[in-house]
Amino acid sequence: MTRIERTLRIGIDVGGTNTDAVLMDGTAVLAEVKTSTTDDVTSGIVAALRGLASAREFAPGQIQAVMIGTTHFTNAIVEASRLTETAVIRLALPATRALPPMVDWPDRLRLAIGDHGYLCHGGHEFDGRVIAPIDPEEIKKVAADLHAKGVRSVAISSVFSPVSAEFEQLAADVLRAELPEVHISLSHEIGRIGLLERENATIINACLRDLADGIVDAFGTALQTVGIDAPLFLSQNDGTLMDVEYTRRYPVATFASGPTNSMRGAAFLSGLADCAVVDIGGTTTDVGVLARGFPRESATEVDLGGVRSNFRMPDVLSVGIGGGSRVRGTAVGPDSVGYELTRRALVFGGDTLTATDLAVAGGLAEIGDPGLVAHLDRSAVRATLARIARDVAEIVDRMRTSAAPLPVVVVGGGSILLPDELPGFPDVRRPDHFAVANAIGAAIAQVGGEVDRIFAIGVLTREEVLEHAKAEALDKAVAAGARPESAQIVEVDEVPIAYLPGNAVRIRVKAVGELEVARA
Amino acid sequence: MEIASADLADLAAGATLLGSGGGGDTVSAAILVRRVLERYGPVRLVAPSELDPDDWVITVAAIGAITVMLERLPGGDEFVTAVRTLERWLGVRASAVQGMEAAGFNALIPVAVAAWLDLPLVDADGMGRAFPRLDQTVFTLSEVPAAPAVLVDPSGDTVIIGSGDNAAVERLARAALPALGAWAASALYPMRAGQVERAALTGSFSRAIRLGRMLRTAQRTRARAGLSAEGGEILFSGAVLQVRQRTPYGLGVATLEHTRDRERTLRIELADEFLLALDDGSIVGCVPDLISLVDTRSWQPVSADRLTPGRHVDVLRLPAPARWHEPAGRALAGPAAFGLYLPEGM
Repeated sequence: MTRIERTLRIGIDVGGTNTDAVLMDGTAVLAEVKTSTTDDVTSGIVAALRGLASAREFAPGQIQAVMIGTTHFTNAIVEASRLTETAVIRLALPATRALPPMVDWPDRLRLAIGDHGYLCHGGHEFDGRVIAPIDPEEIKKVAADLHAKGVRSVAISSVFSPVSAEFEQLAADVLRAELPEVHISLSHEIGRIGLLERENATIINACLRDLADGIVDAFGTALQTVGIDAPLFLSQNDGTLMDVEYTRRYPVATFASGPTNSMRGAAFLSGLADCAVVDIGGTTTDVGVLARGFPRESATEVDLGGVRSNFRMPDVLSVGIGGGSRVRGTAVGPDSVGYELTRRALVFGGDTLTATDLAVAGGLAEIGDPGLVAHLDRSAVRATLARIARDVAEIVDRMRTSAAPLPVVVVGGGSILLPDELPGFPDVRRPDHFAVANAIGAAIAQVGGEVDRIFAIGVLTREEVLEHAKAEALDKAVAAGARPESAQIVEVDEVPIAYLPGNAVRIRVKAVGELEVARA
Repeated sequence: MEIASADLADLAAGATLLGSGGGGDTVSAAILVRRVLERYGPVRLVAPSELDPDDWVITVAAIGAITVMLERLPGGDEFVTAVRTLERWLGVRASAVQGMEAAGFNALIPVAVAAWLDLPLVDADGMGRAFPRLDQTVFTLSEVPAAPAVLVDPSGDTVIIGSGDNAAVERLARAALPALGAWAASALYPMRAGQVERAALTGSFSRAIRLGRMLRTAQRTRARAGLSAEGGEILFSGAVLQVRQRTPYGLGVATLEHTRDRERTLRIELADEFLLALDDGSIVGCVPDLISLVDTRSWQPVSADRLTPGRHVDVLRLPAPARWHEPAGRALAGPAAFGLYLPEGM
């Protein structure tokens, strides 16, 4: 019997319009494929996997791992659809009443998940003291109410749970005893210091739990269909990976993984560590900046469908220009024919003038039947394409923060809309495999672990506290699937707590490592 | 004049700028105040001269650690309890409230307190910016006592500092804060409206709203002209090279490299706020004047504790109220009060 070496990785990016996939051997891209995203999750992934197999034959047993980045969860929040009815229990009384749960949510989203907020006694002070003892009877009453309402997913937050998780766990135990079927999301496992923002991310996580089960099962079915038995991982917002069980419990961690993947993929393909990345998809153009190989983080609070969270997200500016953007006169987008591009665009025999048709007519790309756009007025086509280039260049310019020359890496299927030079940016690069940079970003991702907590310095010295935090971050990375010897600390951030006598610091440590994959 | 929920975005933006890198979170504070105003209606903003000179005005603020406040959010009652307790201690009824520090969180919470108590808010405060100590006020310069001062935590636990000079009140309050959970609602500096007129910085909240409007216009349109109308200027535009945060034993330092001239370096000394800016060794900004950092692209203010290497920022300077530049003002809240010993005349 021949032992098959498992050396290949598959990266897949499921966007709103396209599903991209790559087959990689180490750093070599063996095959790439672009298919349309389908309403039925499984068949889209199967089509992508079959596409790869026909581009480059491989045995399913050669696959080491499959990494998928998906926008399913982000879209569900943005559209406020497919969400699980969710309750919030905050353990805090008598504190925090002036800002109850979901106080800053858009009505549409709050009502979409049922608007069930409960304030209960509990919470800790910054130093671990109790604000008020937790009252199990109070939680049981909430449980009875949830049972009567048929609510099946619960987010639990408690003041200073990143310092002491005791009450969130206690409340979860009480709830589980009363309602064994209910999904529970605990805020200390999801977010950082900042009660409202952490609680918001926890609620969003909770209302995605059913969808997560559905999506993960559909991905699993797709792999089975084509006979791949390799482990499946999903991309997180920071560009690291999580396994399937983790995804079921923490779907919110997939947010913004798309832009992160495409930027990390662009860095990998171009070999540039400092550049702007322009990712043009079917509907939008996303512009981000890489600093030292990692996406620049957004400085402001991040909106998830209008909800504030303290998730760390890449700093991305978007504009509604993509390959599928509809063209009316000289106006391009923001609406797009999306995944129907290959049916509705003129070059594919359709009846809708799209940005892709202009690119073909303008000689920037050869797609479909150029004869079908030969009748378009040449000078109008050139003028509109020039305007697209100018609009994109303007966005890049807004992301630019210094006068130093900034190379621009252009990726994504829609990047055929851009010429080889942008106004003000002479250095524009379109690396090989540019159309599937996001899938490559998924395929090359590492595994990470993070600690963000307030530590009291006194009993332990500052050095001991730092060591403690680093060890915990490394443990978390390994628990998430990193090969222990490859795990290393990549970020240490230490901030004393303002306006408090110097006995407490907030420490943030991040570790990443190579994915541990069992050899067959 | 009044402050309605439509003014809160401007007030919050201006409050952040006046925080000079400190002063705490204004986002959740704005949400809190918006909820309160939606329920109780706009708050009347009055000049001290609109009140009877014998009317009592009570000063309100949150005191303590801002990072903690992001987590242990206000209950609401603690501020009302603080004012009521101070009224009882003095045997008076307040006719209005005013701010202690019209910057950061403390520029917003007095609006909610005024609404909760159904009192007007006096358009005045004691700092005109953010300072770390409660005795760093123009009230201290005018010998208005901070005591009696009341501190209340969200559980209603209350500390009353009955007497003591303002430095002693600061010392006692600071000692009580850890036991109160690191921040507390406070009612202090009770004074007559006549005293407010003589002692306080006036126009504080309207100035914050005006600055906020300027900042938000600049964020939308990239127009920077409004800054000079407020007496401000852009000192430096550059990338943050290095940040060493403050420690219990010393000031923090940030260094920036100029965007266009890479040989040019700005050094910023910081504690809870930005204190001193040195452009290639020359002092270009110094406490008590305000040094504020905004993100180059978005013009969103960047607080001292969120400053990280790689950030591109514009460094702004705004003048402090003139009283801070008088000798007594400089002694209380000038560079030496922060451990910065500069040559005479700087």
